[in-house]
Amino acid sequence: MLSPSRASAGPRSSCEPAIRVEGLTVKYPGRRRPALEEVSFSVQPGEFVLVLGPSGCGKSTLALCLNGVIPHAIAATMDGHVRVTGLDTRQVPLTRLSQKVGVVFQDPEAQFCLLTVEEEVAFGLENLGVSPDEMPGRIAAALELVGLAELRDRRIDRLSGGQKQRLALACVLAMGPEILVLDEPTAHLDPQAAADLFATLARLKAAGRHTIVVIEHRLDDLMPLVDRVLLFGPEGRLLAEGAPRAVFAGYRQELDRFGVWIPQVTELALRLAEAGFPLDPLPLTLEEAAEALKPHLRWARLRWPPMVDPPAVRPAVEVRRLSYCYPSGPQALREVHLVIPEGSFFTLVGLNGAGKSTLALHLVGVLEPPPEAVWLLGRPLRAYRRGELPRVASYVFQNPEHQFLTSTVYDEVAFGLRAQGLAEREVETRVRTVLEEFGLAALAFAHPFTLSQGEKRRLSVATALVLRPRLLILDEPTFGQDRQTTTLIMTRLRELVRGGGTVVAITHDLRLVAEEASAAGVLVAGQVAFAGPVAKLLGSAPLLRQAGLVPPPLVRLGRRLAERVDRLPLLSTIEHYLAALGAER
Amino acid sequence: MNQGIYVETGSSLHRLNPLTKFGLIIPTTLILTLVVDIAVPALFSLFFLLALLTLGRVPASRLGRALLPFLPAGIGLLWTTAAFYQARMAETSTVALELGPFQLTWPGIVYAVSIVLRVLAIYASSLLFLLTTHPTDFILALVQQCRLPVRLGYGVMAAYRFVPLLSTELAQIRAAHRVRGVPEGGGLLAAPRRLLGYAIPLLASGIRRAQQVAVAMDARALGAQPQRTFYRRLSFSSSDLAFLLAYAIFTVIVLALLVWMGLPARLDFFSGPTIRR
Repeated sequence: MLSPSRASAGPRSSCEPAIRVEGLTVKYPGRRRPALEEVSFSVQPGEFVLVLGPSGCGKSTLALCLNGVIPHAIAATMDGHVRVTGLDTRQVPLTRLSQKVGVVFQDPEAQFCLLTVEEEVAFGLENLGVSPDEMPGRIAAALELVGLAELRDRRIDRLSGGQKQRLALACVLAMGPEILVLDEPTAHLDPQAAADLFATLARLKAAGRHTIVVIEHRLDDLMPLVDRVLLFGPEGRLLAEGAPRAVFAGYRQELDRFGVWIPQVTELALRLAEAGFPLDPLPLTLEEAAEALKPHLRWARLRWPPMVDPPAVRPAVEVRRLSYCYPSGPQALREVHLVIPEGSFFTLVGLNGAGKSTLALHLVGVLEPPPEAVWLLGRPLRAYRRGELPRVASYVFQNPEHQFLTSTVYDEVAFGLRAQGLAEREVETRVRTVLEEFGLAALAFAHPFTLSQGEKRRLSVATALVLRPRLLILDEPTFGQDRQTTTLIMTRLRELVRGGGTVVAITHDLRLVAEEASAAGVLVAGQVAFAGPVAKLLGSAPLLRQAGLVPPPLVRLGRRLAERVDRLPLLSTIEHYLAALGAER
Repeated sequence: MNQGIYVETGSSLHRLNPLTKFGLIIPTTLILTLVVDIAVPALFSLFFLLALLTLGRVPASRLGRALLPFLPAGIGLLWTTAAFYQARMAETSTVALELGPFQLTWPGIVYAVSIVLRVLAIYASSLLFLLTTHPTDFILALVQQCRLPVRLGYGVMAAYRFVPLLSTELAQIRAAHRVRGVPEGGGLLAAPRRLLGYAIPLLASGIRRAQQVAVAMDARALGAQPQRTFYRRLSFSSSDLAFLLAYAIFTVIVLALLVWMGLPARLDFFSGPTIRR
């Protein structure tokens, strides 16, 4: 556990830790509470450390302390000491620190200032005053490490999000640091790009030249690399540190309470343990889970709910031969046909730029479809009057801020109701109920822009659900959200579906698809490549690849288990596994 | 992605130092404001437009599109100058055209054409700069040759990257507001309020991004040490010299021609037209 050994003033031995943090407290001006409080830990050279904690627990602040941006470039009071490779960050200038610690940040759009890949890598070297003759070699080596060697002359604005993050990594690698810090590097990436980035990290770890600290919440593919976990509590205190297994098993309640994601296979194992199937040791990776589960599964006795065709209901949405071309751009939709049954939870998946949002914007009339091309609840969309549509169909945008119109949370939720001309008494009852349901009652008079990321997301969903729409479309509702917000939103959406409403979610989150959706559609280059039951989509590797998706961990686990079994139903959720083990009551 | 007016062809004109191209706008503007004539601005316009088409390999369609904004301005200027032309020697001028209350005289028309051509020539000289110079290169040149502070220069470059992002984001915000039932139209009172509604989220994300970029640049030691090297040096090369020389020779020839032909090249703008017919 925590061992805040006092710094010895003696000569540094060869086993000097790569990072040693002692009694670190950081407070931003104008904030009442410190962002980090009395944090102490150390990291050995070559170690791969995962930092976990709820959003707003000071993880990003820690990253900035490790490379000396705090206190050198950001005005914050810092107490305690941070030593990287033996250098006290307070005493050593940024130039020197940047050659010891490299940081990759969250947003791939906000890390660059130059035009091409190689110039951007050179930027850091220029700042260090490296001689221009030496640069080409160092640039090439850094790009090679992240697999971007061929894109050396490419313009940065033509790179994908995943390539940009690997470029950001190359930029810091070129400066020759021994320590790499990555602050939620995959938060803006699709699953395939995230997998590529993790593969790059695996190569770096195997090479053994770097100490790596990663703040991340997509854990399943990362766990095989992780040596140690640091768990932060909501107050910016270090709650636990240790081997991943020990932390996930020993701090289960805290992890739950703070809404911190844990690997899906670990979550599965913990649920199985509750149901009377303890797995020992607690699995953290797919391999471990497959090993631990094999003896338990008795496929012959497998109880499996029979596949029932959903009853024929009228479509909530019907799209007929819809094509669309942006005035300035390429063809976004080509002859799209799609039927979304009423009362279903439908997910729309596909690569970025495949036309998902364009299609969805047609369903609420923001983009005007040709007459007869889009039907809502049996009527052509064009037959609805302007004021009528918001009552029938709502749309929750990916960035909640884009939709905020008023200056308090209360008014924000009330906005749509007032627009319908409801009496203020009725408005008040409905707003209060919804704020309560979304855990926002205490924030009723806060300004929407001052909310946390999770609160903003909950508010944006609340503003749509308060109108009791028959059709609700959500763009990446779970993107970058912690477990609490995700669970809460899913509960509310399930209620909507139970009440006969229809949910359409645009998403890259296959866990959401597997656990919630009844049907899914795949868009590839503006065309519908698939529309049908989720089980069929999850079972088809080529389809998933076309959509830029990687099968979710539990599906991959099921496939691995199936290697010995010839016939295996698709296992994609924890409930499926409980059923397969006969543990379901 | 939105690249503004810049046309990427990688031509020899693109490879010139941005300051060379920028610098040419100044003498060109100076000469053209002093000379009132039809031939001189026409020749200068031709010089720059031909340089763009041949040396710059800018497709004629892109050049045409870049010239498009000049069309309404040019026509407007032509009309007002010709229509409100106050001839000093009004009694000797012949009326060419009578349109209601307006009398267009030949000297008036000739003068108006010369003014429009003059503006066109200055516009063309800026196009030579704008169409073949990426803004990032221009700032890089300012940092390297004009000692623009490094932090300021790179800050502007980072901000420039946000321009296309901002326009995408604005489109998203407008769509998001429409979904919530905010009407697009509206009277004089509704429009400013609606724009304010767009501005707040735009500002919020802009400021957040700017902070993130600033931190990312700090983390990579921008400006942390006084001696900075440059991977790509934008220097003045022999082709810069050649282009400047070509421009100088062209200017001398044009001006010599002007004098040789006996045109009263009165280097005086404010005293009004002295066009010989």
